[in-house]
Amino acid sequence: MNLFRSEEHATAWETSHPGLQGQLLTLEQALAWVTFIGKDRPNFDYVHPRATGTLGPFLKSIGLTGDWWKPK
Amino acid sequence: MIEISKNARQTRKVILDSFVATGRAPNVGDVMAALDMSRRAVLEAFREISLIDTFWVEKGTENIRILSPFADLTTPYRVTVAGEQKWYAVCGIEALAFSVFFPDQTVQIDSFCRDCGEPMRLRMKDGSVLEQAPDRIVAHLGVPVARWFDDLPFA
Repeated sequence: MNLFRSEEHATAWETSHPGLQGQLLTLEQALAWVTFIGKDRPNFDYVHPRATGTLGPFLKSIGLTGDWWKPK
Repeated sequence: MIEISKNARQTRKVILDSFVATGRAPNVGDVMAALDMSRRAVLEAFREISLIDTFWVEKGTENIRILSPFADLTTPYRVTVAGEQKWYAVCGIEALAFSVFFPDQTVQIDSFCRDCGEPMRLRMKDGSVLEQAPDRIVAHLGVPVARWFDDLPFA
């Protein structure tokens, strides 16, 4: 996942990199996502939410909906 | 819920402790010595860790390159903690996760816009953004979430 200065910069980068089209999220969404997956990481018994089935519902709750955002 | 062995849990802790202290991953020998484990047991622990976290051993080697949010390689996401720069984050989003490992400390993320190369900086503390430049920063996910773990270095 890469960071860009704006949506326009991300779009320009995609245009110059055919085949690397993706989806954008706001910094606030990125922070919410990383807090969800990362807040317990220092814990000895941590399990990534992708392995607990909770990642998909969480992404939906912050507005990241559609096939692109669905975990396996 | 996926359960992994105590050996794998302890191995994960040794790896994280090494990343926090030095910015680098331990090698297999370091883990063997730290936990009095055989090489085979350490490699099995690596396999188990990959089931429950974002963890990548470089293909064809036994070298740990990623245990999120840490990267044991140079990336566009340089991390400075309390004025000391010795960490790299796996990616832009994982860079935002660093502060959980450094409570009560200021974590600075230096990167650049992948389009224009202009610098970008975030300063965080305990999960909150203290400062950012520029004012507008967006994240771009180039791989569908379902395929994110198929090719971690690319994702």
